Amino acid sequence: MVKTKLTPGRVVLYVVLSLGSLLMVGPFIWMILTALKSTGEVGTFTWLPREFHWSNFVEAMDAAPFLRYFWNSLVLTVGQTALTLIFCTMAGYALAKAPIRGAKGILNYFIALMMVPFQIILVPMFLLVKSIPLFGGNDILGMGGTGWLNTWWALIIPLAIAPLYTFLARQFYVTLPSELADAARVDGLGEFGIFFRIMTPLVKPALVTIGVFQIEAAWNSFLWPLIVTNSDELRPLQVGLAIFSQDPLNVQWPYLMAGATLATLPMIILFIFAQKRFVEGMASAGLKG
Amino acid sequence: MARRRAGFLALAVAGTLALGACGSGGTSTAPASNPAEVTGTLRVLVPSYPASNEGKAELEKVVASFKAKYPQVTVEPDFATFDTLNQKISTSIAGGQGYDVLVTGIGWVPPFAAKNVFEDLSTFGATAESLGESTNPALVPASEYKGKVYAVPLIAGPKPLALRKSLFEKAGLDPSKPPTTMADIKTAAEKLTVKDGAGNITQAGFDFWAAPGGYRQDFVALLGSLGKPLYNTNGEAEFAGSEGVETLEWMKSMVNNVQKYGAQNAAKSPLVNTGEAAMGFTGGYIDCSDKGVGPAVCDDLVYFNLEDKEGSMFTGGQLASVGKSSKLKAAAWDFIQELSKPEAEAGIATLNFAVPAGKDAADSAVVKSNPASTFVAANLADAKFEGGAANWLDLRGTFGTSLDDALLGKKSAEETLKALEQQSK
Amino acid sequence: MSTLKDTKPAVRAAGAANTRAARPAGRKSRLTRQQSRAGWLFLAPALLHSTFFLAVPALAAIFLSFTNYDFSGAWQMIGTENYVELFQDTRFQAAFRNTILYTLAVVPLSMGLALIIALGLNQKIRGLGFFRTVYYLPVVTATVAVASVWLWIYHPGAGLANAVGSLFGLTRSEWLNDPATALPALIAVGIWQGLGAKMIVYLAALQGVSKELLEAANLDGANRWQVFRNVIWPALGPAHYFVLITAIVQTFQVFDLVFVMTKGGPVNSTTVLTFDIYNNAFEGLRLGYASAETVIMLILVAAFIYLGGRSQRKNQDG
Repeated sequence: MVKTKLTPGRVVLYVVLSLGSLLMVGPFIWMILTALKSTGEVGTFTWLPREFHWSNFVEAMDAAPFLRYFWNSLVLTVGQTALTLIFCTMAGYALAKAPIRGAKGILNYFIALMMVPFQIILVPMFLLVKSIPLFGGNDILGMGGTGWLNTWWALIIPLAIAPLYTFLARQFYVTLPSELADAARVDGLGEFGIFFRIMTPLVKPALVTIGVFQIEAAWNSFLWPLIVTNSDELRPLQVGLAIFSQDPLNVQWPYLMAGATLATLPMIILFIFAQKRFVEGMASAGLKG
Repeated sequence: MARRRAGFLALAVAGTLALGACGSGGTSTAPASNPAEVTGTLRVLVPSYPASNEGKAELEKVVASFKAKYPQVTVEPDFATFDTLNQKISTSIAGGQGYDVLVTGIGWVPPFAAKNVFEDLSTFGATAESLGESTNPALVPASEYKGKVYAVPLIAGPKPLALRKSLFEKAGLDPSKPPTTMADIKTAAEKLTVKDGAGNITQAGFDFWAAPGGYRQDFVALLGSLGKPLYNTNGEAEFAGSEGVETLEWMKSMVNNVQKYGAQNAAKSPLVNTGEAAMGFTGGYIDCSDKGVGPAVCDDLVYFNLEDKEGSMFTGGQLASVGKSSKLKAAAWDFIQELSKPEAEAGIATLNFAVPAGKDAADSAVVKSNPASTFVAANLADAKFEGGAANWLDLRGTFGTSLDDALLGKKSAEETLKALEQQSK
Repeated sequence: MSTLKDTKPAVRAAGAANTRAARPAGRKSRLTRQQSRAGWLFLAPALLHSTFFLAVPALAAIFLSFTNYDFSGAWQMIGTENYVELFQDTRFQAAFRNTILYTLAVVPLSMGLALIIALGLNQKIRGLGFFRTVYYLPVVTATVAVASVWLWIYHPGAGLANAVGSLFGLTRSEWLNDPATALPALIAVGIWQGLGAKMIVYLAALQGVSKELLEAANLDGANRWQVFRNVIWPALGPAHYFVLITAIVQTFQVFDLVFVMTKGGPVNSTTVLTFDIYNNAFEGLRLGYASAETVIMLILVAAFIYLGGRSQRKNQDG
């Protein structure tokens, strides 16, 4: 790889990017620094702690069974992401490529569903989840028990496979030429084979993007898990962190920021690996052959 | 095809609402007579106990004590923060799965009582008088609605005034004689305000400890010093009369005079604690150790209350109620009795940096641990509350915003208060 | 990726051929029917899931908007009373206005900035991974941390914003405490927060720009602007559409920022529709009223999407 010359344009680029970076990274740095402060120091806004209280991280994690909360978030996240990657890519591909009558209409339907704010469907969704037939003591009509409440089902299924990711997948699949599929069909490959072996590998950046977004959403989910669970065994990370801001007038800033920092680390590590995949580019489709 | 689809959808929608109507409820047996025979699951929502190890341990003590009396009842605690409490409660009501024991804040009782979410505690023989025998009588009005009692106060979170001795002396004022009437406070505050060359206030003469929209608790305290509550025990507004107007106009004369509107430090802590104000509202708990503000600051602080026609100290707090849809009401009431025992209340107070609501609050460790708590516990008789209207939860946001309208000069004080009176139910 | 010069007409032709073949029922080829069936099978799980978990609750919300349900048990259908009351509600009016202003400002600015940053980070520069991660950080930073730092930046007395402003000779502003400047201040934070996610989508889409086309253009002697305008920009069409739609939707749904930073104040200058809906639903406990407000919000979002989509019509299909 030839080293690119340092043109004035490049210098400007570096300067602008760096200045922007300072602004982007500010709150994150503050978060880490505040995790190292003592409780009394947070009465006034400061950047640097007087002393570095590394013990805050340990104390924060000791305040509640955070290891279990991390694990719960992991299960929740993996569950949702697996479901999303499987079913949203399939649906997105179908909307992009399959000769479905009304594909446009269905896409608009998905977009319309994206528009609904969560706060307002919270109550009806809660009722639905409570009334899943034959679960949690419910009869066939969904009455009498608690359905999916306080189970992994309620944590994983309702929020997975969101229309947002189907939409994103579709936008990526749409850029692929259909000739690839035609050629493969001629070769005798079935529809699913075309989807799985030909088309999907070509949109790896889309898969990475969907993965990053869905993982981040699942990892940071707070309100829905709070509402549908009441036991410690299922509590995910963000709900666990809420104990430090239990009383809005007496937030335990150092512990909260320590917990939040630890919660953010996996996301960042994940992203560092993911963004490398952006550069890998797409494997050549081998159409020439 | 389309009509069939519409039919299905209508069915689904109606179904969703009907689902709310089916209660699931725990199984239970009815007898109120013998606790040892009662079975079932008692669902309690007590945000006073954070879900941390510490909080859980405290709650376990209460549960253990309860189970000694009700060995066959399982206690199922649920978790919420105060910011999300309403979402928890409302989904539980909509889902027909109301809690048996609920702990809410002051000001929440009338709305939930009016909505039949809370049980009238006279079922268990509780009246204002009987409550006042174990609880500090000053806190009892917060648990009433239309003459009946719907909750048991557990802890109180008062907001007293404080001043800085050193800053008082610097301005030539006597810190042993704190100004307690609005007029005196204003005079003192104007002397204590320090501005820089450009006219910006660097030291506030009086800190309201309020963000934009947050002046209403100060308003309650100041109105209280003139002898008026926000709402009387019949739910009628008392803040729109001459005292209310006087209070609001006084506040207006102070804002942008001795302190800029909405001025807060970025940590939203009381400015008198950090030294950025010479005098002002502050919290009912202060950490005097080196991990907190430090002993020097604690020594420099003098706590006092508003006093004009009456002593007045804004007080928040937490109260426990029995859910109206509960199938284990007697057990729920006994659970609340456990919560209101002195040791339990002391535990809750420590966890919430507050003061126990019981009569012997002054003896508890948390109260004795710092000067702020000692002061407020001794002065609970001056407690003043916000709330009292059945639509207070909805109205309080508008209340704060409307006060700001007056403070910023967009509307007159009289107009503002009259409009708020109209909106109260 | 493709040996063809321009994939778009080919794709469109193929797509049109497929739909043309599908329309006359008797003439549908077995192949197309097979593909169509497979397509429905692929689509089914996501479609069913969304219908059950999103559409049904949404319909319930629409139904509730015609009732006075307030969690107290006895509720009735009240027709359009909620809507009438809404239009006279000053908080709603403020929220309506502020949401439109907020969206009009944040969407184009954050899209534009995100694209520029993505272009900048799509090149072989040093520290690429570092910069990309840094620009992504606001997405994962805890909202309370974001709020704390920005409240410090906007602090009238000791904050960075006024300090920087005074360097440029600007007078000191009260920022979040001044009804006139509070919303613009919040808009800046909104743009800041929304950059990372959009940048990722653009970065991913930029990977899809045909390398052959780029090489061909460079060989033809096109300068950077021409390369951008004729090769990159068209290839980003579907990505644009996605970013636009999701930007509109997510900007309309801004809640956390308002809740943590300003709670809608001062004097309703930063209250937005989702915040007001939350207040009505869970503070006022008037779910019927809040649902009516949601319906109006949905109509507004749909209008924005429609208008935004029209400007991008040719980019929808790629």
